Amino acid sequence: MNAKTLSLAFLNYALFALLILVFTGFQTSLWMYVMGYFPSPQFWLSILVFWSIYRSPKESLIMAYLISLLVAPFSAIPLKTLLMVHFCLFFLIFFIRHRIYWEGVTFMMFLTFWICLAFPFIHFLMSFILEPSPLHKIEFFDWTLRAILTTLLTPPLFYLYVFIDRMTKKRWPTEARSQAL
Amino acid sequence: MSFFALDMKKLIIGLLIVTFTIIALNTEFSPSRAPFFLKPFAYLAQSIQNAYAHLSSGVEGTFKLYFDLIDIKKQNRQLLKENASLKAQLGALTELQLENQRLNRLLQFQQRSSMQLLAAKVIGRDLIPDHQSITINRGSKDGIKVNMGVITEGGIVGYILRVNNKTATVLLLTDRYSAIDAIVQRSRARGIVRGFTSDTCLLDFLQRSDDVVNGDLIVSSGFDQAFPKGFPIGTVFKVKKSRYGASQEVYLHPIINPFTLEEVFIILNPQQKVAKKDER
Repeated sequence: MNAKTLSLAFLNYALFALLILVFTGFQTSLWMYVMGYFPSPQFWLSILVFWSIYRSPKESLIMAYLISLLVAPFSAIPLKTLLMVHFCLFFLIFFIRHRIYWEGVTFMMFLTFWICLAFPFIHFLMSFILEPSPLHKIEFFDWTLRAILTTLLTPPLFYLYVFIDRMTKKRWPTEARSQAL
Repeated sequence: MSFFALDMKKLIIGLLIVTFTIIALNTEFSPSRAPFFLKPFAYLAQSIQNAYAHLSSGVEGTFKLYFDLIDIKKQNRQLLKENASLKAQLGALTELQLENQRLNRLLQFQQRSSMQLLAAKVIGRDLIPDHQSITINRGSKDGIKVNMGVITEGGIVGYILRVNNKTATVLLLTDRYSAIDAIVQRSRARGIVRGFTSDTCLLDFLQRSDDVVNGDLIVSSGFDQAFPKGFPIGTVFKVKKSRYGASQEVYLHPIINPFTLEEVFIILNPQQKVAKKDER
């Protein structure tokens, strides 16, 4: 790997990290000012889904760590729970991806919806296993709304992620490389 | 034929000429009165004129209406714009008025309280809805430390969980990780208030024999060094005693609705009394 490839790869990671911070800040602060406590789309989950589909397992795992570290300061959730939830989601995406896969944005929409819905259940389970004061209930309606909103916002987000990948000349794994658009 | 011999034909012609002349002269002398023989013509003329007048006024009316409509449309658009702008201004003014009232209340509370309070603005909420925390615009550079109590003029909000340089995370009392030492105001029974769901808390470690009923006010005990003694936390809405347990489950609604918070106070010295006014 030469210096240019390395710097492009680093730029790709840096841009996605920046995107996570910008989106999470928007979701926790600006959204609250504009929409109050109305459920917000879960942007960071869409990035996790994108990376888990269009990256190698090693890179996806690195991103799962990176996302956990980046979004933890925006929540009171313990880091261990967040990390475990993200790893479980990462494995779940890989499990689904190896069984069902089609090209294009609709596959990402499909996965984003189910991953957003799976999040509260995995969080509930992890909280029960890892935390001394576990969750008492799942806000299912709230999470369903979040899943719908995130899924609806997936197409523009997908093209943004693809744009970043193209800009940084990121190569996708073979099964996901062809005809993303 | 002599001069006086009458020729009837000539006589009639002569009479007619004289009559018409007299009538004409008469008409000339009183122009305001229309001659009787002109009346039918005048009637016809006025009818036609009226008809034209109606028609022209109708046409004029239609044209005027058309041009008015264009004007009205323009005016309507302009008025709609003005209305929207005024509405926006009114909304902004109402918002300012409400903010002013709120800040006034907070200022009055700060002034009458002997606690050293630091006002802060809520700038964010928790990323994950299963956790109850807010972010405020004060941090370690303002003297904020972990575990400091956070209140509003109505009651307890929570306490500082994490501190950054310019911001801090407040763990709301409804979060399942929060724990505040509390007492039942009426009976002085002591327990720990923990978060349960997003709008309810649980008063733990109360003994079965402790006196607590629905509607009781739960206040801070002051033992946790974060809040002053006697500051409101919530009101009891459900008391559950199992048949064999040594304790009882007490559920309460927090006094403060964490979803409507905009400004809060951080208590810098919790060991002071709540209000100067009470001392007087």
